[in-house]
This record gives sequence, C-alpha cells and structure tokens, in this order.
Amino acid sequence: MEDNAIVALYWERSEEAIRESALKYGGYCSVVARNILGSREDAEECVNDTWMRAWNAIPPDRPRALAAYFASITRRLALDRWRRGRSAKAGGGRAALCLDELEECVGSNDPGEEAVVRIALKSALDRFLAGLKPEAREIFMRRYWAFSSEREIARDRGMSVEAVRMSLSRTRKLLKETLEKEGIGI
Amino acid sequence: MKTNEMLLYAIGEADPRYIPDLTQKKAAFPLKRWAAVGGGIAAALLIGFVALRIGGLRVPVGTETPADHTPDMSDWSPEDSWENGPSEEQDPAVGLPKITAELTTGDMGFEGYMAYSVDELENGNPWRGIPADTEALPVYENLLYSEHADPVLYETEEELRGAAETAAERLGMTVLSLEVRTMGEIRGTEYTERPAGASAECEGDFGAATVYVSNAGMIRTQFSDPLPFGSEEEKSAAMDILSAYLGYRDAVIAESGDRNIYGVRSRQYRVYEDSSDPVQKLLNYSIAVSRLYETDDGAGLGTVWKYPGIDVLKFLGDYPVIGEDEARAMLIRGEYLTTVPADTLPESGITEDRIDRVELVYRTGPRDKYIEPYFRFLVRLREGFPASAAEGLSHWGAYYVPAVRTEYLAEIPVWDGSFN
Repeated sequence: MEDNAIVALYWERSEEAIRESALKYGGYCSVVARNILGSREDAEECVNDTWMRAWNAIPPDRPRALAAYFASITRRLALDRWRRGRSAKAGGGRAALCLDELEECVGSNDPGEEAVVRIALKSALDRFLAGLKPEAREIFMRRYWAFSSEREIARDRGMSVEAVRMSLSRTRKLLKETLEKEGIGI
Repeated sequence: MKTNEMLLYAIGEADPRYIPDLTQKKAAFPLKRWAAVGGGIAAALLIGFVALRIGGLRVPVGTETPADHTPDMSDWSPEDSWENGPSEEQDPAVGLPKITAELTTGDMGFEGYMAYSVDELENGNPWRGIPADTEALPVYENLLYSEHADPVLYETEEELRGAAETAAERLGMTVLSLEVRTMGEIRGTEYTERPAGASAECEGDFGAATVYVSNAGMIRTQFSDPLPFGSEEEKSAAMDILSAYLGYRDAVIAESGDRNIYGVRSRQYRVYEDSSDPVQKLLNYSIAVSRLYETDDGAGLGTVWKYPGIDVLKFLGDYPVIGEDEARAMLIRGEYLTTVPADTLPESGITEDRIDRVELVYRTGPRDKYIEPYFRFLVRLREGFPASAAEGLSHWGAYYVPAVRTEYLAEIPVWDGSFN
C-alpha cells in the first residue's frame, strides 16, 4: 500500500493501519531492533510497540517519511529497552559496541545539564552530517543509526571490512574534532 | 545519561534523508526511497475520516438500521439536500450554539508543501477566498466525535459484512472471500471481541481488488493492477469503472500535489459532485469527497477511498462569517491555528508579502468536533528551509483562521509553534 494511504488509515482510525504498517515496514523495523537488542523476541516486542506508538501519535502527527518515522520510533524503543536491561556489555547486542566507539568522540562523562547538551549535540550533529561526503555518511549511519556490523556494511556496499573500518574511524575522528570545536564532549 | 549515550540518541534524530535503507542491498544512495514522501501527505490527511451528508440533513441519531449507514449517493441530489436545511427566513444569528475551533498538533511533521512555484499547489478548490456577499456558512457537528474514543460507525460483524458486500456490488465485482477482523487480530490483545473491519477479496472485469470497510465507516478499495489515470481517456475509463461506486452524477476531478525534497512531484485526486450552487460546491469539494491515490511508482490509481458520509453530521446552523480582509489581519496578528513550527518562518514572522494563496475550506480531521469553515493561508516559509531540499524549491506552510465570527466561538486555542 502507498505510504500516504497508510498514513491516511491512521487518520481514519482504521485498525488496518497497523496491519499495513507491519506488512510494509515490519521487516525494516525488525532489523533495526535486532541490531540493537540482539534478541529476536525483544525485537519483535519493540516492533509491536512501534505500531502502538504510531497509533497514538497519528493523528496528530503527519509523518512525511513513513519508513524513517517508524524506524526512528523502533530505534528509540530498542535503545530504551537495551539501556534498561543491560548489566554488562556482553550480551547487550551491538549497541554496547557502538557506544564504546562513540566514546572516542565525546567521552562518557555525565554532563549534568542534560537537556542543554542534548540540544547542542543534535545541532552540531546535524551540521556535521550535512557536511560529510555521502559515502562516509551512509557508512556512519549504517553503523550508528542502524547498528549494522562492519561486515554487513561491507557486504552491502561491496567494500572490504577494512575499508569500512577505516571510513568509520576517520568519520569518528572528524566528529570528535567538530564536537570539540563546539565545546561538547571530552 | 552519559555523553556517548546522548550522542547515540542524537544520531537517532538525524535528518530522515540520512536514515539508512536496510532493505536495499549494494545501493550506493538508497535513501531516496525513504524520503520520497512529500508534504502532500499532510494535504491528503486534511480530509480525515468523515465525509458527510451535506446541506443540512438532520438525521436523528439511532433511528436507522445499520444498513442505512451504507453510503448511497445514487438517489441524492446536492441541491435537494438544502431542502432540509434552515429556511431562508431563519435568523442565522439566533439560537446558534457556540462552537470551538481546534487543531491538534504533534511533535513530528506539519502541514507544509514544497513546490517550484505556488502555482504548482493548485488544488481545484472552487473557493479561492470568499465572495464579498457571503454572510453565513453552514456548520455541522460530527456525530462520531468522542473525546476519549475512536469513532465507530459499524459496531457489529453484520454491519461490516453488509457494507463490504454493497461496496463490491457497486464496483461490479464478485466477492470471493470475506473476512471480518477483530481489534485483537490487528492490534494484539486489546478489545479482542470488537470488530475492526471487513476485508473482501473481489474479482471483476478490471482485475482483482480488496475492499476493506473499517468500523469507522471508511471504505478503501485497493486494486491489484493499478487503474491507468494519466491521460483524459484513461481518467474517463477509470471513472466509468468507479462511477456507480462513488455515486456522483456529475463528478469533478480535482488534482493536487506537491514535491518532495528531491523535487519529485506526487499526485492525488479528489472527486466530488459538481453543483451550480457555490456553497454546495464548496461543501461537496471539502466534505463529500472521495480520494484517489496514485501508486508510489505513479503507474496509476492504486487505492480509492470512500467515506461514510450521510449520517455522521448534524447540521447546527448557518453561522455568520468574517471576510477575507479580516482573516488576513488576524493571520498577521498571530491569531491562527497551524501545525507549522514557528522557527520555519523568517524573523519578521508572517507578513503580507509572504501570503501566496488563500482559500476557504472545511476541515474534516478525525478528531474535529465541529465541521466548520476556515480560511486557509499558504505562507511562504523562510528561504533555505529545509536545507536539504533540491535547489529552487520553496516551502509553504498552511495556516488556518476560523471563518466563523469570533462571538460564536467558545475558544480559539492559538498555536505558537513552540513544540519545535
């Protein structure tokens, strides 16, 4: 079904909206959740919760990019679940690894004024991503948005794992420099 | 939360264009697919879940059998419907209950349109502005409105089955199978016994289709093979197939659409009954409308939507309305409703030179308690917004000013765009 028709179903308060959402985007959201949580069962719950979040949010929301809208909800839910459930890095899915890698960029301090830092981070990150070369940006987002493994990224892009690793390393370094200039992080 | 965790969350809020498409393998730039939804969605959603019997039919609630709720435009004359409206002698200002003007807002998305010029946003609305001699316009109460629950028109399995079978019959299709789904089957474990909708797999001369009737009364027909709808001949052929189903005798097809951030235009259509009476025509255009959606690849019509209409509105009366000049002044003073974030406007705010289009509409959102007229202004947003848009694209936001005179409004919540 067309994206705009699915959104219209939500606005119609038709339960079919959830079925159609799951049909079209269930797989996509599942991959995101599984990458973060590493558990099929947990991922499934997150995806189901995604539709309910969307049901409660549309209307009044009017998503302009439905896949991104759903996947963003799933990602947030999965991260929340992972944070609640983790006791150690082991068994925590790929989120723990990504978190370690991002520590290079901003450290892992408790910054105190969380709301302020969040806004500053988002703003700096937006500018940073806009300025990246498309290939580097996609590799970065595959890793830290979708939590794909370096091997998966390499396979899908027809690159070597080493090339992916190098790209990520360079981008993290750039991000660190950017954030330092903005006074965020370490 | 630690800074690296905050960074992880911040990445999750990145521009949707950068969100990876995990379903596309070895695609160098696979993101376009996910961003190929223009602001037209917002426009599409303005016509929410109700379409209604227009012109003042005051149908007593609960006096009809469920089958009577099935949309039936075949014996309906738009002009005739006025016979049940208020008489000409009635003083429109006497005894009118106060109404509200509301616009719910969320935290993602807003009603905006991108195009290379405002002319591309033509939508076929017969009321560009308001005739100077217009003193009053009809207002309706949405009988399905509930503050705490979703609207339900068809409560039983039998009602849903009947509506699905009638729709298929009017499309000239044979029902091969019909399934009624409960809320539980669709949503999980809640409300397991409540019927949510009926889905009929059908077959006809033009191929297979699924007719789905929701408990809110909306009927959606999804064609397996898109109906070509490009040329005038194709439109005519498609309307021949749909005419008995849609029930219009003198149908008007209005095209609308806008562009996504890549400049790709999306199209949608609304179909409504023509009328020589301008007010009736506005009502037909705004409210008693069916919607036709093109498939994502533009191959033809993929889905047709028909709304319950008829019995879900109660005529409240003809309410005195303001003129366009007054509405413009209210807009510039900030007395408007919108979902558009405040930071998308330039620092000078809304100024006369940024108002590029005005029209009169009836908003029919799913949570609108009253169906009433609004001035709808398209205001050009600040240059360079969004930064990711293709070169040359401009962005317009929709701002609503209630057309009903303020003394008949109980309250006007004014949105300040602060959520962003």
